[in-house]
Amino acid sequence: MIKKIAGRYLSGKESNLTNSTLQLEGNELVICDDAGNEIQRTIFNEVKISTRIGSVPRKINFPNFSSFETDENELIDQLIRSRGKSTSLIHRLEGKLHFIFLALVITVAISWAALFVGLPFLAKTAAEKLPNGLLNEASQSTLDALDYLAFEPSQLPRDKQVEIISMINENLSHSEKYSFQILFRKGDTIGANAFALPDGSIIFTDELIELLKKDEEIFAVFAHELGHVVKRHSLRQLLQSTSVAIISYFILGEATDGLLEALNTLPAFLMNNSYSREFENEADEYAIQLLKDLGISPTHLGSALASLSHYHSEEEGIKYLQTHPPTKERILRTKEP
Amino acid sequence: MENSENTNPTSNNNELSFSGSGREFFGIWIVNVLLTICTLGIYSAWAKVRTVNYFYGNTKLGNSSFSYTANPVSILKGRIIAFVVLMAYTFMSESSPLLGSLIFILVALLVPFVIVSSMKFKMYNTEYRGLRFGFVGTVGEAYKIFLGAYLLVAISLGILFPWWEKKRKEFLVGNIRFGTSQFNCRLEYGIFYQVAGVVLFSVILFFILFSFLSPSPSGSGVVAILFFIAIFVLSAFWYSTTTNHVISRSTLDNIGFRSEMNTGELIALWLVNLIIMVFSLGLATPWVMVRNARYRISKTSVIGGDLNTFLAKNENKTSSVGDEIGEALDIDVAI
Repeated sequence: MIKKIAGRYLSGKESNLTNSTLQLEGNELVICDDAGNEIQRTIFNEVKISTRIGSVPRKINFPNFSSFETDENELIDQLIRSRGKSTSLIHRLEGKLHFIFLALVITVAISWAALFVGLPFLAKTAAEKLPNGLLNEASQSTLDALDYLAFEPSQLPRDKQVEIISMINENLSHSEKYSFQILFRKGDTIGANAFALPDGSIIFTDELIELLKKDEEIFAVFAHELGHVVKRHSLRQLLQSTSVAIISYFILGEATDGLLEALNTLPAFLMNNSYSREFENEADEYAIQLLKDLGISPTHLGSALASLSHYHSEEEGIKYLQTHPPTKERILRTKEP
Repeated sequence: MENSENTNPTSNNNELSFSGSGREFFGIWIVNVLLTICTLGIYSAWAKVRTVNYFYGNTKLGNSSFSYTANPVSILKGRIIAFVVLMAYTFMSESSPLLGSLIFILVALLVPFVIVSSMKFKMYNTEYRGLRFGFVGTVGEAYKIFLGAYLLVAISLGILFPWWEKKRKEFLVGNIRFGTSQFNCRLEYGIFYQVAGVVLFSVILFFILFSFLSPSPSGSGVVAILFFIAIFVLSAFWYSTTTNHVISRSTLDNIGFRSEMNTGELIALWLVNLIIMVFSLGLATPWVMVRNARYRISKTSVIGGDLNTFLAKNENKTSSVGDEIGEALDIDVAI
C-alpha cells in the first residue's frame, strides 16, 4: 500500500502554492488539499515525473500545466516502481560510493590517455591528410610579425650566407629532396636561435652563425628545424591546443565564477608546453637519424645545444612550465649509439 | 536548518536558501564527466541540464524551489553549432589571418543576437512555482547596447565603460519577466564610476610604485605576483560592489531584493577555490561550484511583497542555438 505523499500543488496559472497530498488510486494519481478536497485527478501514464537528481525536489507535471512538487524522492521512486516502471539508473550510480570512485578512476585514466596518446595520434593523422600549403599564409604573416617586432636585417656577409646554404645543400645532395628555404636575420634581443615555419622557411640568426664554429653544428641545428617542418609540428600543435582549449572549457567551464575563469586556460597552458616538449624531442630524434644517415656524428647536435644553453645562460626551471625539454637530457640522447 | 514543520507555505515566507552539498554534487559531476567523455561530448548537453537542475532545485525560496526545463537535444544542437564556429574560427585565424578576421567580424556582428536568444532560452527554461521566467529585451535594443554603445566605449578610450556597464546590466536584468510581471532595474552611474575609479587609481598607483622599486630581472617575478594579487583583490571589489548594486536596485512588482556580498569574504572564497582547484587538478570543481552558489545565495535576500500573486503568461519556445554560442564564445551574460 502506497502512502500519501506530502507536497505542494501549483496550478500553473498562478504562483500561489497549495499544501496538498498525492496518492495513487488504481491507475490514477489524485491530489487533495489539506482539507481533503480533490484538486487534480490524472491517469498515471499521462503525467511527467522529473528525473531524480540528488536531493532536489521532484516535479510531477500534469497535462494541464499544473504540477506537484515534493521533497519525498524515495516515496516517488516507490510509486514509479509500483507501476512497473524503472527509476533512473544514472541517479542510482551518482549516489553509490564505489561507483563514484570507479568513475573517478576511469575518468582520470581516459583523460590521461586522451591527452597524451589519443589526441596527439589524431592530430598527427589529421596533419598528414591536410593539404601541404595550408599554413603557408600563416607562415608569411608570422615572419612579417617577427621581422617587425624582433628581427633586424641580417648583417652577415653575402658570401657567408651563400657558403652556409651550399654547405647544407651539399650535405643533403645524396638524400631525398626536401622543400625548404634558408633565411638569415639579425636576432637582436632574441640572440642566437633558429626557427622553422610550417611553409619550410628555416631562419638562422646572425648570432647563431657566429656562435656555432663548426659547419656540422650549423647543419645539426638545421636538421632539427627541418624535423619540425617535415613532421608538421606547427599544424599538430595547432590542432592539439585548440582541442585541449575546447575540452577544458566544456569540463571546467561550469565552475568559473569571477576571477576563476582565468583557471580555464591553465590546463591548456600546461598541455601545450607538454606537447611542445614532445615535438622538440621528435625533432631531435629526426635530426639524429638524418645526421647518422649522412655519416655525420649526432654529437654535433649535442655540442650545438650545449653552446646555445651556455650562450643563453639557462637556469634549470620547473620542467612543466617549459616549452623545451631539459638540455642535459637532449644532449645525452645525441650520444646514444 | 529544516523548518518545514512550523512554516506555512501560503504565508509570506520569502526566505532564500541553498541546500546543495559538494559531496553529493561530486557524484553527479563525476558521472556527468565520465559519460561526457565516453560519448565524445554528446552527453554534455544532458549533463548541463542535470547540473543546472541541481543548483536550481537546491535554491529554495518561499517553500518552493526553482527548476530548469531545457530540452537537452536543443542544447546539443546549439553546442554542435558553437563547436563548429569555434573550430572554424581558431583554424581559419591560423591558416589565413584575413579569413579569420572576417569570421571574427561576422561573429561579433552576431553577438547581440546571440545574447538576446541565449537570455530568452535560459529564462524561458527557468521555472518557479509552476510559472516560467522570460526575457523581453529586443534584438534591436541589444544591437544598440552591445554594438553601438560598445563602439562608443572604444572611441572614448574607456571613459564611457562604466556608463556602458550600467546600460548593459539594466538591459539584461530589467528585461527579465516572471509570469506576466517584469523586473525593474534602475541603476546609478555614480556607483560604476566610483568602482572603476578605484580600480584605475589602484592600478596606476601600483605601476608608479613598482616602476621605481625594482629594475632587476629577479624582482620582476615578485612584481608579477604582487600584480596578480592586486588584480585578484580588485576583481573581488568590482564583482561584489556591482553585483550588490544591481541586485539591490532590482524589483519585481512589490518584491525587493538585497545583496550584501563583501569584498573580503569574496577574496577568501576565491582564494580557497583557487588553492583547492590547483591542488586537485580540477577535481574540486563540484565543491567550488557549490561554495560559490552557497555564498551568493546566503548573501541575497528577498524582501517584502507577496510571492503568491504572480500570473502565468502563454508563449512560444525559443531555440537553444543562441544560448550555446553565448556559452562557448564566453560572452558574459550573467547578471
